[in-house]
Amino acid sequence: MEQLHLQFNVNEPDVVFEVFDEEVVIVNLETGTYYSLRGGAPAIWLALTKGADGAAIEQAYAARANGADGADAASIAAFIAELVAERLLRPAPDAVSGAEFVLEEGAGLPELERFSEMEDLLMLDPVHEVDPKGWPVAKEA
Amino acid sequence: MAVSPAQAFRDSIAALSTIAEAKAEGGFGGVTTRQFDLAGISIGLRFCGPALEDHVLPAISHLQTEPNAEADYTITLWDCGQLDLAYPSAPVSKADFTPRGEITPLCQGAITAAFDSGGQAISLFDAGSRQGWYVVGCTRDIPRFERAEPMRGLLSWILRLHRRQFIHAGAVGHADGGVLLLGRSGMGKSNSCLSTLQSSLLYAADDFCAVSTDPQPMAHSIYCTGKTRHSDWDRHPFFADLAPDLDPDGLEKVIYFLDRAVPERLTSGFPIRALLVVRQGFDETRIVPSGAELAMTEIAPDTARLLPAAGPEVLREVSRLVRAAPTYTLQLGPDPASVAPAIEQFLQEVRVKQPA
Repeated sequence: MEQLHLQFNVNEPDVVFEVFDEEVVIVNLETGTYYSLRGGAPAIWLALTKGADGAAIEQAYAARANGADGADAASIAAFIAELVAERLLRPAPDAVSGAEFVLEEGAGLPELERFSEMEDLLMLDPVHEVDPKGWPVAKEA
Repeated sequence: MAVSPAQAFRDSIAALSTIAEAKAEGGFGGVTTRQFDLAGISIGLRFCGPALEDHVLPAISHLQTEPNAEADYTITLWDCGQLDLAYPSAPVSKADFTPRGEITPLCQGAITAAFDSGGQAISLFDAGSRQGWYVVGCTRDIPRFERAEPMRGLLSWILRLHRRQFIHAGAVGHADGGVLLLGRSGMGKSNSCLSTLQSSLLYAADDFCAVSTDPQPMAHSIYCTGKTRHSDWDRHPFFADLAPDLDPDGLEKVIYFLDRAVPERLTSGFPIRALLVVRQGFDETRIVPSGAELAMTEIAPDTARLLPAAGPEVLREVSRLVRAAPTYTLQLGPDPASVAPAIEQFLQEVRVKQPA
């Protein structure tokens, strides 16, 4: 995929994240969605946020599989694509390549869990009507 | 230099408040000032006319202080209808209003503004001049449940300047330490907090409180209210004695104004010893260790959703909190009377392990 050959930036200021021992929690303040990254995902996320090249990460997983199984590399590509699709990262094509990515021994595949309870309330309820003075009208209960 | 829309709106509301004060003094009930200590911050409320007093005061009455010094911040409140004043026009288009309530172009620099269509309530804060304004069209139109947690947005904007973060949590404990109860609506957080009123535990919150983490994690009471469904009285009959305010239509939750019923059980706050994530459906009530990320995902999203103009500071402050206090799961069993003893025993064990 094209975006694997790019660096990425965190989609600030709307996206904020915190790192815990084995998990990264990301909140997209614009959409109201939050995400839990587990398995190999935290290390990939942190590397990407520090300027690692997506292709290098894919190659690291592919090399571990020693060509026997392309599923690992494909899952990395899909994971990075999902981070971009969710607007957590945005491509930074002009960025200079930054951090190296070191695939830890025994590192798992990336796991991403999405929680969207906030989304219904924050996003999909635009103001439709205003009163003669321009203020939103209270919705029917 | 051109004045920003936020500054222009601020100036117009400030000018209106001068008129509101004059109107109130001129025969519409006068101007009444009361002072409160919220999480160590002194906030003065100037009521231009009495219409909003009964809407705001009962929920924070436990924090009222003698006005013996100038308040750190002053909020001026008035009801345009009661003062026979024209309600201001919106200086923005409808696209500028977010579902959460903040008015995006009017949140600039030191100024924060939000609007709640229930009651036509404008909340406006100028951190530079340490002034706030709460203007409604008609107090009677404000949703009834707002009386349990009035001016949540405006108060949160003031407190966050001092790294006191409003969070969606209950809080019960003793003077030397207590716990936060975390959980989405329906998880049993409010019932659990209110059930402790029959124990030696003190009550700081059931739904929203403020927290600070420097130098140690502290819970700060903001509201002395609680809310449950009326049907919860079947499991907690004593809730009927907690000065309940029932919805005349029977549709909304019961609101308890605890300062009227059990003032001796209320506390302004305490050090936080642990975060308890509430979960239902267990064979007995117990408190078991859990990971910090569980508390994070319980607190941060709901808090950000429920506070207008909440920003990255929510995640930052909540992450400090979950690192400063251990997380456990409060597994609720079928006996509602078992919650308070479980928390009391837990705090006793913590007290032994971590002497103050």
